[in-house]
Amino acid sequence: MKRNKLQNQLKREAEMHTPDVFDRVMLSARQEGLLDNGSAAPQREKSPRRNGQRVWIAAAALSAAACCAIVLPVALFTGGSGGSGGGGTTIPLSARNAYGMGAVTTIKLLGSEIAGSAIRSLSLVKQLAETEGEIAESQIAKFHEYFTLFTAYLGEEEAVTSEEANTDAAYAQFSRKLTVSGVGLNGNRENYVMYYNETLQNVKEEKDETEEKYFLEGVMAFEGVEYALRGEREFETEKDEIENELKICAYPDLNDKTTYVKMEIEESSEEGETEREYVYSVVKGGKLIEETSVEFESEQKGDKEKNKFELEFRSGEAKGKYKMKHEAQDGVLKMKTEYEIDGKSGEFFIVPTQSGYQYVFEDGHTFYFD
Amino acid sequence: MTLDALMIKFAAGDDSAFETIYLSTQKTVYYIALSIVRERSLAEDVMQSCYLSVIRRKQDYRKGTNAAAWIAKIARNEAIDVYRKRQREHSVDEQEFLSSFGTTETDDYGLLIDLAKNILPQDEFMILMLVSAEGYKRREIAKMLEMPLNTVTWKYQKALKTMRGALEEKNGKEEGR
Repeated sequence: MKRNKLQNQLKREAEMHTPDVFDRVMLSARQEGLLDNGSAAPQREKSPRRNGQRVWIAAAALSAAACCAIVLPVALFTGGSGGSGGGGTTIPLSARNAYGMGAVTTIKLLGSEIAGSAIRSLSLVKQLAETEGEIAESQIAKFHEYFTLFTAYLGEEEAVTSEEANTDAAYAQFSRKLTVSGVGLNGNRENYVMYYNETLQNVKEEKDETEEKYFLEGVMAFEGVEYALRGEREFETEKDEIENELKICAYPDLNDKTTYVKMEIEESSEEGETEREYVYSVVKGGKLIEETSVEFESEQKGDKEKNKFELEFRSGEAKGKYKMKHEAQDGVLKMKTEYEIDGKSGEFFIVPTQSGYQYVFEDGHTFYFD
Repeated sequence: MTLDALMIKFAAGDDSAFETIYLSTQKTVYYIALSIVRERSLAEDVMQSCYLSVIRRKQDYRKGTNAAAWIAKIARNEAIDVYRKRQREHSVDEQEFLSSFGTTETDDYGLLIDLAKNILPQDEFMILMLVSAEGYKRREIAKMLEMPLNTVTWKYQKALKTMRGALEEKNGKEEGR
């Protein structure tokens, strides 16, 4: 029985056979004086739809209707494992985009965090008006940081990767070279090069199942700083199910492993459905200071493809969840984003400008990022 | 509204928030309990005591922490208490006596959940049900159960594999009849 079928059947059974003890709890609580007898149990509502996350009633209704039109790249993992040549392997095409994008985005986040450089442009944010109840500038700035990373490397101008043997003498200790070409915030193409060695750690084969595990070490330079990269890739197939997991860490200094950015990707494909989740962790001095999850779901039904894109982050005290889709407004294609941040919900549109992006809220409140 | 926000409302005195808290966590609490006590009626009792505990301790909940994990922890502790009490109350002989009169059999509805409950170890059953019944992501379960993510992933994969093997065996036997 396929994984999804098994899960779906368990889910259906759980819906039908989970007991309801609410009335008993309320009765006992009132008898103990824990709840006010006057606060009668409100009229029972339908169970709020869960989406594997917290209760978010409005979003459950909206996400059912949402059809994200963000152009997704060709699946980062398209099956196939790694070639092996003695102790070293070549990252296969199937994993190349994932590693390349992982390397670039982790070092950009790390560079931003450590050196206070380029992608975070809070100093250039202009706020037109303060509105009570609006989400904070810092929260939007944090969202913008991830939005631009993904737009540059997963958007319509998606990253292109190429891979070859390394002939650069300066990095002779690495046998392979992976080049990532993406579009930066200024609209120009940017190139990043990762020099690496990948080795096959172990293989397990049983009946219709195969599991392979690879370890990567490499370096990538960004804005004059060289970052060490360490990665692991696991590839599993079972009949016609494929699961890939990839983890990559970027360190400014390998002698100090308490500061790094880690990206983990999980992707599973089965019967026309693909789910992919990226989780970024920013760790400074051994302390987790920020965690962000970006999730894509893509479902092929006949000739139709449905996509969903969600971003959720936690940074210090700030927590946010965003769901995004393209929407035409006044003849202009904009990114409509529904958010829930620290209990506040609403929506805004992201509109590209000549020099950057404009975030427009329902009440006209606007942020600019240049 | 997030579960965290609901707990804050509830702690602040808005009793109406409790129902949504209950509905959001009902399956989580039940299947955590069932994975430990292994009997449906006991798991129901654990649910009741868990939610009473949530109501009693609502002021202990700290804003911005993980409400699902907080409630899950209460469920686990209540389940462990019930399980241990049950073990003390029944000697080994008595447990065999109860089993021979089909206590476990009457608890089996012939569902896939029952198969999972009967063949999977506690953690694997718990994780499988949290993924399937509540749709939690593995990293959420890792935080909830205070387990490394890799361990959750590994246990989940193992649970799936065991279930598939059992189903194939069961289907093979049925075809052979």
